[in-house]
This record gives sequence, structure tokens and C-alpha cells, in this order.
Amino acid sequence: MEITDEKNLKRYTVGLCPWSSSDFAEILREEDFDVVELEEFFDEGQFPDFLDAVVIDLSGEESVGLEKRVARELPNTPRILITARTGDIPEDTAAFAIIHRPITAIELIDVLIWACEFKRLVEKNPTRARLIDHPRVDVFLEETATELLPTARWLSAIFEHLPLGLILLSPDGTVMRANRPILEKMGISGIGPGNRFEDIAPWKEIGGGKPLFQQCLAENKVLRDVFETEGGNFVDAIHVPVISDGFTTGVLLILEDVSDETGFTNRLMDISDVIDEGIAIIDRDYHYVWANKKIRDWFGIPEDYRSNVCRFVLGEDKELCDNCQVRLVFQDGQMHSGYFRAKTVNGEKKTFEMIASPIKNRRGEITRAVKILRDVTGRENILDKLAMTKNQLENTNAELSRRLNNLRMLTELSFALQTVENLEKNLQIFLTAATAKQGCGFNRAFLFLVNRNNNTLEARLEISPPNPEEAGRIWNELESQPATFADVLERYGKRDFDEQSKDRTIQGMAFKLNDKSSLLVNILFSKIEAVVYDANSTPGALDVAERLMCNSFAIVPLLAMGKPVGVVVVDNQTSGHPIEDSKVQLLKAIASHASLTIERSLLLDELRERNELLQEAYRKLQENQDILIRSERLSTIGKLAAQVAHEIRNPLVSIGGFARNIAKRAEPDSPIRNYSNIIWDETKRLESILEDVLSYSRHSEPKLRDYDINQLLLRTIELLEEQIESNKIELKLSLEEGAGEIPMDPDQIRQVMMNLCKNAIAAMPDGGTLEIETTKAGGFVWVNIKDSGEGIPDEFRDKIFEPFFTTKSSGTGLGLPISYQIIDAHGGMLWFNGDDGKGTTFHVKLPAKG
Amino acid sequence: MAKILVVDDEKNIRTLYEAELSDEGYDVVTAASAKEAYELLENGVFDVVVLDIRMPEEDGIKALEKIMVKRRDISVLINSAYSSYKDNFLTWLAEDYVIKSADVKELKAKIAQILSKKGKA
Repeated sequence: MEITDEKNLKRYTVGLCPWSSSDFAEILREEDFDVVELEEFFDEGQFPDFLDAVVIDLSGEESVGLEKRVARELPNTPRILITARTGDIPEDTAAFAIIHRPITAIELIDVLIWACEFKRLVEKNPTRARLIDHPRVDVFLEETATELLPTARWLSAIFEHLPLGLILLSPDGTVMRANRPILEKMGISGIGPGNRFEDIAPWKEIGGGKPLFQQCLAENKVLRDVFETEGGNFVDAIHVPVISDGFTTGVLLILEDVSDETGFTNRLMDISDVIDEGIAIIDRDYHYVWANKKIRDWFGIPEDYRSNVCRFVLGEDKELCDNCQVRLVFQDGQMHSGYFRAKTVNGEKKTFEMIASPIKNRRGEITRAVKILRDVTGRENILDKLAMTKNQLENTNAELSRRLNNLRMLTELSFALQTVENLEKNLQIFLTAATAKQGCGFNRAFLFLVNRNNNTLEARLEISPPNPEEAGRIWNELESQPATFADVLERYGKRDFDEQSKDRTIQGMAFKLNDKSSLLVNILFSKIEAVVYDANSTPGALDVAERLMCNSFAIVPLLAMGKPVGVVVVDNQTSGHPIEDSKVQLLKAIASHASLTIERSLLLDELRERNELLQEAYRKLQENQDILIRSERLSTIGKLAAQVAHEIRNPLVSIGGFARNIAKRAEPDSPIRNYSNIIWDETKRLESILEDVLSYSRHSEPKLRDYDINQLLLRTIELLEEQIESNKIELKLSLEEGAGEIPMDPDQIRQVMMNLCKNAIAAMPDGGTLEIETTKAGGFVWVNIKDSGEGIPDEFRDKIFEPFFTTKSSGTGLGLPISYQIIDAHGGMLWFNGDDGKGTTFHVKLPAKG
Repeated sequence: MAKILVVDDEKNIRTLYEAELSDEGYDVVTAASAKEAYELLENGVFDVVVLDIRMPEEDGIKALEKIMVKRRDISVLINSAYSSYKDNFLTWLAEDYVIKSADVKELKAKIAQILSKKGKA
């Protein structure tokens, strides 16, 4: 403890004679007197000369003579005698004062201070005053004092033994009494009677106003506060007003050292320097009262930070920071928390979480606030990242959801496309998918398909509202009904297309497949989709843009088995929305489905065509099978017929032969001759029938040799001359010389020509014209035999080449079948034409020579 | 007078031919089988043999072959109800081929033709 010179001067040194009451020394020391025990000096005889006063207790037996000895040794030092009996006092004493027991410590000290002051006064002015001149003082304890003595003793005991600092102050702030040793331990030094309150307790009142002890006096109530002493101790001070006769006569300060707690506080502060949070205490003027290291480091708070206003420290030029939690604390006394951003001294931008809490003084006033700052920049970064991740997740989720919808739509589309076989309907479904909200959602879609027949890309189908009003209506309808794509298809996709509106916008548009200037054709063959953002700057796009009356559109090619089959053009003419790439990609997916369908439809058409061919072939096969079966049957019949014919022929020879013979021998015009001739004629007819049957059933391969067809015809006609004449038939021959020789079996061909001519003659019973013509053309020789008869009735046309079919009463029905067989065996053809009632022409076509 | 042998298993045919050919002034002998024909040919001279093909026991084709081996000077005229034997080359040894018909005009014509060739008409 440091002691000033002035205080040193004020310190009194008191000598204490032997046999003094043992507690005197203690009392005096407590009152800040220097005490010198004189017992040893009595033995040695040389007394110290620096004593301010000497206390001589005469209460003991052995004390007789002490006073004389001291007076002799220290004549100029005031002596204070303490006695219990008046008789003890020497008659000639020159003591400064005689204190009569009972005695209180206060009296003793008061008298001692008086004595000491007197001694010093004498020493300063030796000429004006002498100790010897001073009248002896006799101090008796007053009656009240005597009564109070036990209390005073008790009080003294409290003062001396209570481990609390006690200071009794007079109303004007003078220290009346204090238990100095204890106070010194608390770091309060130099306290003694006569000191001023301000001197010994230079603490600062917090919160302004009068010193607390004055308030205590004025308000007459116990107050409490904590002070920091000179020595750095923290002291809890209870101000107790002392009341006497109804007046407050002083204040008792009861001081308790709470440094241990404060020490704990210090340790807390040490800890506060190493923790991550910034902690500061701010007063109501927003000055820093205290700040931990963290906060000082963050904001570069200087050593003398106590004078800095919070906002300047933070480098803000505003009155208060936005979101200042401390202000709120001062406003409502509650704890507040919030976030703010600030730049640290090294330029980092940080985000802080601030918690501000009020600090109240003993009177419950909010005098300060503690603020705790937590650097949440990292946390905020993480939060930012989390938010970002969340966004990404949401985006991904949205994307996934979108893709899921697309997939669902594609599945529904695929199903729809597969369940409808009609190409037109499928194209319609495809365009519905391109325009439906659940699909690509384009405003309009136009389809162009390749026409292989004329190598053009032609407008085929479109889905487009006829006018903006209609577009709006449809749009609203779709918007208000969140339906699946399947629902949309159910509603719109499968309805019949109005013929007029199905291509009203693009009607008649067609591009030659070799037209390199056409954008659509180029995209068709490039097989890569394209988005036209501005038709003016895209080569070949203008004609499309003009027709669509829209400058921006997308074109997606349709590929079937890798081959381009068409393109679909989409736009957002009504809404004016930009063409989204994701939508175009979706359209591509849809297009690939549609392409498959188109391909499937095309294949189906082809399949149908082939199926028809197959059925035709099957029909022919069955026909041939029928023919085969019939010919097989005929063949069997033929063989049988041949057998029968031969067997019949011999009897016929006899019958006919003898009939002829009889006729020869009978008288002319006799009935026998006549009858014999009838038998003869009928036999001849039977023979003729047999000949035909045998000829048809024989199937003999033609024995080919070169033979002149014209000659053959002339010979045949010769044989028929008689009939031609009798039937009044005009014969017209037109035989081309060049027809000439052709490879043939003359017997068989003669039979054919004979048959055909006979038929022609038979067709004209009432006369007519028989035209026979030969020509040579294209490696074939043609023989046309034309009659002017009644023609072949329609119902017989299919049958005339069938065996045994005949319209003649005398015919075998084998003539034409045999002829057909022969010509066929020659590698030629036999057919006829002619209308009913207008004659018939039989055409024979035979391979020419070589 | 030219001598003609008619070989046919059918009696009616033989009778008819005999009557008809006799009318034409030929000396007509008939045989009902190939064997019978051989005997007649052994013992007599014939200018023309009219030979049927379808006969029981030996048929006309076999008979033709035998006749041609023994008597190359004899002319054989095949007379059959079948035209198909025309395609059998064995019949090509015969002088001619006539299909049987009630009208014996062709048969007579062929015989006359053969005889005229032989200078016996």
C-alpha cells in the first residue's frame, strides 16, 4: 500500500507504558496510530524522543512511579494517565489529561489525537505554547456513555472482530470511525478518523447523481452498491443510515470484499478473450465500456476503446446500426437478438448474430447492455449453400417432375398412337401432343409429309385456332381443366377433323424434294431439328414465315427407319412466348413416336397391298386348283371316253359300213335306201363325236415343223367352201404375206382353224361376213377370225372354253377346249372379244419363227 | 385280179370288208387271227394285207413284224380304230395306215393307191 507524505505526517506515534490494558495497543493500531511498547525502555533507561504522546495506565499495582519516570524521561511529551481510582493520581502530576475509568476507545483516541496535535502544535511554535502551560484535563465518562458502554463495547467488538469493512461517516462525509486493518485488506487505505469520504473512496458513482451515501442520508434508507477500490478489490457496500433522536446522524458503510466473485469475473473475462464470441458492454451513450479480445480484433477497437462510440467502432456513419439490438434493449429492457452484416478491420465482410441483454444496476435501472456477437458468416455461407442446394434440388425436382410428366405424356401418346390404326388419326394425335398443354404446349403445329409419288414435301395437316378469340377460348378451357394428356386426347385428339380447317393455313404448300433453297426440305434431309428465331435472317425461312404470319418457329424432321418422311413446324404465334429448347426436345421425342406410327401406317398400307396381291394369287391358285381338279377329272373321263370310243368305233364301222352297203344295193328312192342312209349319216355323226372326244383326251404334244399359216388357212377354207356358200356368207381374206411359215403341228392347227371357222359359220345361220386376217407383229403371228353373228351372250363368256359346253344342238362342246389346248401347247394364246349382238372375233397368237 | 387278205378278229368287219372290197373287184380272203393269216400267207400269194392291230393272242404289230420278215414283197395296210399307233414306229413298216371308219372310201382309196404303185391296178 502506498502512503502519501501528507498521510505520513498525520500519523501519530504513541508510547504505551507497561501494565497498560492489553487491548489499548490493538485499538490504537486499528486507529492507525504507531504504537511503541515502552517496557524495554524502562529497563534500559533511554526513552525514544519521537513519541507524540505516552499513555500510562495506572490501574495496575506496579504502575506506581511510572508517571514520574516518564515525566522525567520525556518532559515535553504529553502524558495521558488512565486511572480507576482518584487516589492513584500523584498530587504533583503534570499529565496532559487524566482519563477516569470506565473508558471507551473513542475517548482514548479523541484525547490522544488531541494530545498529539497539541504536541505538534507546540513543536511548530515553541515560543507561543508549552506543554506545561496546558491545564490538566480530567476526562470522565458521561452517564449516558456509561450506560452505552456495553453497547459501545459490543459495537467495538463488532468493529474489531467482524470480517467486514465498517466505516462510520458523519453527515458531512467525515470518517468518524473505521476498522482500518480490514479495510486495508480490501484495498482501502489511509482511512482514519477525520478523513473525507471522497478521499478514501474515490470510486465513481455509476449512473450519475449524488454519491450514494448522500442519497442514503437524504432518503433515510439502506442502499447498496458495488465499488472498485483503489487496490482493485471489488467491494459490496451497504449504506445504512444511523439514526439518533429521530435524526440521521451518519451513515454506516458495511463493506464486503467481493473480489473473489470479481476474480471469478476476471477469469470469465480471460475466458471471454479466448472464446469465439465477441462480447462487449455498452453504456446508454453507446460507448464501449468493455469489450473482449475477439470484438476488439474484429473491429480494430483501440486500447482506449472506452471512449469509442459503438457505431464509430463499427465504421458506420449512421446514427445507429440498422437492426441494432442494443437500442431495442435500452427501449424495452428485454433481451434481443438479430443479425447484421459488417466489414471487419481486415476488410472481410461478415455476418453476425447479435444477442443483446440488459445490465441493471442495484436500483434496477438499465445502465448498460451486454452484447454478444457470433460470427455466423460460415453458418450463413452454409445456409446460403443449403438454400442454393435446396433451390437446385427444387429445380431438379421440378425438372424430374417435368420429365416424368413428359414420359407419362409420351406413354399415353404411344398408347394412343398404337391403338389407332388410321394414319390420319395418328397424325392428328401427334399434332395434339405438340399443342396440348400436357404435351409440348406450342400454340400451333403444322405437318408436312413427303409424297413419294411426285417427290414433294406437302402440307398435310395442322392444328391451329382459326382466330385469337378461339385461341383464347381453347387456352382457357385447357387451363381450367387440369387433365392428363390422355384426357386431352379423349376430348380433342380423336374428333374428326373438319376438312376445311385441317390445313387452312398451310394449304397447298409444297416443296420439291430437290429444292435446295427450301428450309423445310433442307431440315428434312439434314434430319436435325432447327429453331428459327428470326425468319428474316434465316435463308429459306421467309415463305414459311409469311404463310404462318409468325417470324419465329421450330422445325423438327420426322424420320421413319432413318428415312425422312416429313417435318413438323410449331410456333407460339398467339402467346408470343419464345420457343423453348426443352419443348423442342420434347417435340423431337414425340415426333419419333409419331414417325414410328407413320412408318407403321405406311408399312400397314404396303402390307395391305401385298395382302391383296397375295389374296389375288391365292384366288388364282384356287382357280387353278379347281381347273386342275377338273382337268384331272376330265383326264379320267377322257381316258374312259377314249376307251369307250374305241370300243364303240368297231361296231360303228360295221353298222355304218353295212348301212352304206345296203343303201348301195337298195333300189333308188326306196325306203330301205332312205333308212340305210339315215343310219349311215348318224354313224358318221357318232364317229365325228368320237373323233373330238379322242382328240381332246389324247393330249398329244404338237409335232412342230415350219408350215405356212396362210396356206393352211386357204386349205381349211376350201374344205368349208360348201358351207360358206350355202349359208350366204361373204368371205373377206386379209393374209399378210410376211406372216408365212411358223413352227406348228399342221394337223393340230388345222383342227383349230377348222373349229374356229365352223363356229363362225354356225354363228351366222342367216348369212353375214367372215373376215380372216393374218398379221405379224412383235415376234408373234396373229390370226383373227371375225364373224358378224349375234355374238356370245355375256353369261356364256366364261364357259365357252370349258369342255362339253355347247350352245349347238349337234356340238360336242369340245371344239374350243381342244383349240385352246392346242394353241396353248404351241406357246400361243387364244381368246376372243366382241359385244353381245355385234359379232365375235377370235384371236390366235402364235410364236413366229426364230 | 389283185388278191387281198383282210386280218381282223371281228367277224362283222371281215364280212363288211369282204363285201365292199369284192364289190371293187378284188379277190378277198379273210383271216380271224394273226396265226390264221400266217397260214394263208404261207400257202397263197397276196398283194395287200389289211391288218387290224388290236387282236387277241398276237396283235397286229407283232403280226406286221413277222409278215415283213417273211414276205417283204407284201404290202401291209394297217387298219385300226386307234390313231395312236401311228406314233409307234413299228407301224411305220406298213405301207399305210387307215383309221377304221364306217365310210370305207379311204380304205378303198389307199388299197388302190398301193396297188397302183405296184403296177397292179
